Amino acid sequence: VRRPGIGKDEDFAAYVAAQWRRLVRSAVLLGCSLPEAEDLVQTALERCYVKWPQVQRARHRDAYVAQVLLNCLRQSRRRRWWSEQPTADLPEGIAPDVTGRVDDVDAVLRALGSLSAGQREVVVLRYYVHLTETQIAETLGIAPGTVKSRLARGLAALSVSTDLAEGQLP
Amino acid sequence: MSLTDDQAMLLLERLADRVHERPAPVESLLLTSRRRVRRRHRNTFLACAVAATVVVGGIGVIRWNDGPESPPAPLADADRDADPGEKPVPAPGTRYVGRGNVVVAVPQSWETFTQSVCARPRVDFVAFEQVYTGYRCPFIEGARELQLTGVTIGSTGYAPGKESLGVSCRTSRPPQCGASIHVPDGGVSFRLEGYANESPDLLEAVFESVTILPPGWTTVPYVETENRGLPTKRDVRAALEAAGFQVDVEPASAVGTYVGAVVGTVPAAGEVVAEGGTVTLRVAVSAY
Repeated sequence: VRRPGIGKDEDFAAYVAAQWRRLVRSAVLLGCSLPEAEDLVQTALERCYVKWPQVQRARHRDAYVAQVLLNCLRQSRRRRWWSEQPTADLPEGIAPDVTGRVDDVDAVLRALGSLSAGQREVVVLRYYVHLTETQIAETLGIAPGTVKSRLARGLAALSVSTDLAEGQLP
Repeated sequence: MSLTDDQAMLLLERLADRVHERPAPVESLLLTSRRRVRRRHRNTFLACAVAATVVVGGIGVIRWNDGPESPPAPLADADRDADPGEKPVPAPGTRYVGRGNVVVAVPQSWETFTQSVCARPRVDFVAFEQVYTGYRCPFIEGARELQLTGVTIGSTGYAPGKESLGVSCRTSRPPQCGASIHVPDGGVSFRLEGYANESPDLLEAVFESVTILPPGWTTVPYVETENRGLPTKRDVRAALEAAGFQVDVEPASAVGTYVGAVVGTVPAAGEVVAEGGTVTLRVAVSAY
């Protein structure tokens, strides 16, 4: 919904400030390393900025952005060697020690690693991005029945995950 | 027993809370996004310019094949008659490098690599994708400390009209920056990268310098060999003559290579040259 009196840049900046965390974490849950996730979200948001009026007009803005994010993720898996290469091996001089962060992210990835890519996408979109099954079907371009079946199988796989058996289950 | 919806939501929230992302880079995102919009507009212009060049070339081909009794004139002969006009000149302190008729301006000091390079070169560089294999090579001790900036030239698999990528930097110190410029209608991709503190501005300047050469001008093609070693005189001569160039040969030292290898060309691969002009091969003839 376009907000009267708010410019494109202001609206975009407000959206980034509000959603950056959830988008990065979504990308991690989808299988990215943390540096990859941050780069991926940055790329996705830059693309969204180009078509921000469309994003504003979208029925569900988060679903639109999630779709762009997934497209970027798929393209990043296919891209050729000279394309952007997110890496954790940054030059010397990076301020924070990220060792603990990597361990944390590894645990997340292990917990979801037993799912297929399709199952993982619907699980993350449904239970972390909080899209409806209909919105997920539109975002992924699949039938609503396929969303249901992937959700069911994804949850079943998660419930027998070794990581969940180690005390993660709520 | 399978998880309930509430359990799944709580689980993912808990797992996500273990991710400690950096703060939202709102300002830098706005800057890079605006650049992307500007480039999107410029690429439309570039695509139109290249398309116009291709159309002009197409008309020439039709004319050469017009009469069945007269075989098509060799490209070199046909182009020698044409006046290519003045050689395009880049900004002071820079030189043009590229592929086909698409070039970028890089600092004069950037060395061009035409031999196989494993890992990152140790000086600021221009390299062709066929020889620059940095991402696929084993890590070489000390390479990470290098403050390098460079451009890699390659063909593009992008469809016409595809937008190019902008310069993106990470908030490390020094910033690590990279950009890919795709000019699909010219069949060219430029991969820029840099680690130096000044690299965002430098890469931006290179990025902004993408130029379509005027009719009559092209670049010296890079001649690929199967084993990524030095090509032989026969390989390079055949490739250059097929591209319509006149070929001269001059002797060069064979130190570090084998007699008969082409150790370089004048002008070098990627440099601007008149279509149908002369390219001199530097062929190794003796170790002394």
